[in-house]
Amino acid sequence: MTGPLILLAIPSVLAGLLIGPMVFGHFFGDAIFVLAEHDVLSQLNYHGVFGFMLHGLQEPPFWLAMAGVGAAYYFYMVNPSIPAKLHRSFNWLYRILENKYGFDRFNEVVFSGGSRLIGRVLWKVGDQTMIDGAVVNGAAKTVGLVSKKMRLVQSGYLYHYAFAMILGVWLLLTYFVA
Amino acid sequence: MFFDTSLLSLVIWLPILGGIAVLLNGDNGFTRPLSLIVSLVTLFLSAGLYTGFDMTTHDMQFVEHIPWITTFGIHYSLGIDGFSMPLIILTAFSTVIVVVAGWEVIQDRASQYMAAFLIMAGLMIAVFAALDAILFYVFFEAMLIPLFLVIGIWGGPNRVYATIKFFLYTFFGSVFLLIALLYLRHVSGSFAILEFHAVALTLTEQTWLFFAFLIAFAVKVPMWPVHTWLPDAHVEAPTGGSVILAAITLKIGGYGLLRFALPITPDAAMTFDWFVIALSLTAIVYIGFVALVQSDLKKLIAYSSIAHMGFVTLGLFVIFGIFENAATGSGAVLAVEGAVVQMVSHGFIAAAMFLCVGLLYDRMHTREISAYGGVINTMPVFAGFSVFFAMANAGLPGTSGFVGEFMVILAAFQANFWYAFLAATTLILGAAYSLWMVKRVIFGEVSNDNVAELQDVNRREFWMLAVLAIIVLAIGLWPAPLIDVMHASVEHLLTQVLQSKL
Repeated sequence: MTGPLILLAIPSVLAGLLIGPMVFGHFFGDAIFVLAEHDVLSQLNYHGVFGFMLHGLQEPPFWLAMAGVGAAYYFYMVNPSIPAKLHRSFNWLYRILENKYGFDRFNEVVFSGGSRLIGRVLWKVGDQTMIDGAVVNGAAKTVGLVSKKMRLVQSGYLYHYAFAMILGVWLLLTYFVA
Repeated sequence: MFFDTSLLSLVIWLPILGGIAVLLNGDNGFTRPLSLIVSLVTLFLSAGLYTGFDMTTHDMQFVEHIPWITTFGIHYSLGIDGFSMPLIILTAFSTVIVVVAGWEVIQDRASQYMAAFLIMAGLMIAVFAALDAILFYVFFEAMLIPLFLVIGIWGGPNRVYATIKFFLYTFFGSVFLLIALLYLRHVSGSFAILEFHAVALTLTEQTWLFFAFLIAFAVKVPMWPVHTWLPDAHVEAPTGGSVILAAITLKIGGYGLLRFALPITPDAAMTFDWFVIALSLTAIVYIGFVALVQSDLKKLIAYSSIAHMGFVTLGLFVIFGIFENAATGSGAVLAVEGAVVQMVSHGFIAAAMFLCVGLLYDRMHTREISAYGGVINTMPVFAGFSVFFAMANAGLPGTSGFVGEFMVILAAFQANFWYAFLAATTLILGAAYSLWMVKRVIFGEVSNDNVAELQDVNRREFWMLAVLAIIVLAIGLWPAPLIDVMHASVEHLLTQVLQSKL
């Protein structure tokens, strides 16, 4: 791993030298278009890369970053009892930061869990109960049920059939005559 | 001479006759090589349909027209355009994959298994090539028989329920198709599908016909809510059956809508486009959530197939909304082309996903996600392919899965922002169910002794997956060859659809 990291480190130190032609020059040509009134870069006074670097070293962001390095060095290398003490006395703050404000947990429960709940409901209620249960297998069951009842009509007794015929004739007669 | 005028017939009948030859030969050392040769020659011949294809015209090509049942004016009439040609090649290709996939796995009645798939290939190619309504219907129905046998004989424990459900579902749909075709013959005096396109119909007639077509083809696609046969059929089917089911038979539903519903009943399609769009978006969103919670690998992929096919029907029916909003029809061209690209792409990706599950099943004899975990430790090459295909399934740019979905979503924007918004949820849901599955099956520590003893893919399996991976990547990076062949046909379809029959 060290080799590739070294190879990557060299250009990252030197790449800044190209900032003049790349950012302030015309390296990108027309590929990046900026409206004249939005052109904030032109308001910077750019006088070559070394002036740019010197200017950067005098501004607060650089010193804030350095202060962070210093503070981290002191807290974790020189006097590690301080962060331990902070941990104890500001435990609530520590937990909030440790849990990333609870966003991971929120996503896990609401989005992930919610999607699975929706999926389970749609699958069990929609697909299995309503479509498959009521309609698809329901149609098969209905046919079975109706056939089971209809079968009873075929009793094998002649007088049942004769009676059914008389009933039929009576129905037809009432329909046509009345 | 024969080759020039009868290439389509050759591509149809070679696998059917070859299948019969395999069947007659029985189970011996020749069964598998013979099947492979038949499928390879079919693929080679079908490539002739591509090289000899004239991209500049929407007219039917490689036309064959012979009287078949003269009393009823039924013809053996074949021809292909930019829609059917890619699907025919996809069919021929998938058959080769299925033969290779079943090579060592199918030990029981191998000759019957191979024959079923070869015959089915011929029947499906014929469905795509038929220009006579009755010829189409005969092949459309005949296709069910081999698939019925494949699931019923080589299927899982619950195969009888699955086959009957699958058969009754599709048969229920095709009854309406038959009635519609007979009515059209009554009106037009011919069974020629192209004459059906030209016949004038009132809106009432069109509405009845449209819903007849919709029922028939929606079951095949399958669209929500007539989709519940698919997960059952996939779960019970052997790997080859799942591959063909996902790669080809679902496409016949989309193809039917393209060939029948849109050009024959354009006004009804325009009136009820909201209905089909609503069902498509339901399929995409609802089924995406359902796929998320599946614990069975095959069921998960089956549900994901339904969601992906939602893009096909969405692409086909957003065109009316696009024409309402936009001055040019370029968005509509994009939508239809996106739908066909999605069909072809899904054919490769779903086939690959089912093959991956099949490879695991052959080794562990379970499809439960919870039985796996840490497969990458014992099957690194397989894991690489699985992750790639899962990414393609989720629509990763650079894979073919992205192209069709992207085109359809882009086009849907021109019809209605909310169509595009709902369709785009698939990018999240698709990633969620595909990647979560990969995480649970492939990554992590070895979860149990069975996983620890897994053997990585052998040479046959490697090449099978490698070829599919190359194609998925090729279409993803350079879809132009696929889109170019259908361009003229798409534009012709759109002029037909815009031409009111009232």
